[in-house]
Amino acid sequence: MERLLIPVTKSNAIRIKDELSLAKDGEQLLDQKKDILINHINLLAGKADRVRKQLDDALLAAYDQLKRALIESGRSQLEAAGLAVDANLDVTIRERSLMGVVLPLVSVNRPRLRPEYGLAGTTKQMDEVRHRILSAVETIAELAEVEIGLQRLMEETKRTLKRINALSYIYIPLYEATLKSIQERLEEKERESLFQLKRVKGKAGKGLGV
Amino acid sequence: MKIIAIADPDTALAFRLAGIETLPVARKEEAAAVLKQAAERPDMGIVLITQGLARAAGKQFEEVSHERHLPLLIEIPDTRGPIEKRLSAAEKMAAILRR
Repeated sequence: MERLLIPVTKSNAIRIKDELSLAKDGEQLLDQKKDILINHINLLAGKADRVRKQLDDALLAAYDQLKRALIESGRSQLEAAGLAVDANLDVTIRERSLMGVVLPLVSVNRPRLRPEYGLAGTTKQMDEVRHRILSAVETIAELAEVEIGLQRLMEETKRTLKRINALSYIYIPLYEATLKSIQERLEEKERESLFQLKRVKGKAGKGLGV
Repeated sequence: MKIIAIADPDTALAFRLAGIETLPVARKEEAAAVLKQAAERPDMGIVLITQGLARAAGKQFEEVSHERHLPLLIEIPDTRGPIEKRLSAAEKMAAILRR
């Protein structure tokens, strides 16, 4: 097995041991982080799918009305009507953090609906398009919050999994192997020196005739 | 902050009628530049972009959605309807965990 090429000394053995226990703590912490992230993803997942479908449906209905308005009034009239309108939407985005992931909190302030263009020259269809799009605005805000939060959580989960894998399949085995080989070599050395000591003692004893 | 929509001229018309600011993009090649421009405006809260243009913007889309906190980038269908079926959240998660 691979091991780090560092001198076989007692101090190195201690250092590697410390780093190994740090790595194991880290692995455990990351694993907890992963669990929390996945928990939160599960909370958001169903909602994200539901809100996404809601928005798609709402927009498609609005486009349907748009097509009718186009047929009825023609493009240039629609464009002219569009120039005069301003919905004055005000989006507020706050942020909160979950395990270092920044999750957006979105709200939209929509002023009350009032006719913006003159009654002459616009049609029911145009108003209908406008009404449908504006009703979808809250869904847009909700979706922005949920979908983007979810996307960021997933990215963080991916990164966390990568780190966990690196720790548990590369870093930790490498350090374990290194520690083991250093400890074995140290023991070997110790036995050697003990043996030598005994021999020296034996010789010395004979020489002195004790 | 504001909401704007980056869309083909037809889809843009719908948002324009509702009084939401739009950046109409007639040619797909312009999508990336327009998106970049929109993302750099400081008062931008949410940018809606049609699926087709999001694909066309390619790398720029990835950059804005992954590397910035704001604006929040949301894909919307255009007047021709949703192009493709999206992966549900659960399917995306399964793909991440499988690797």
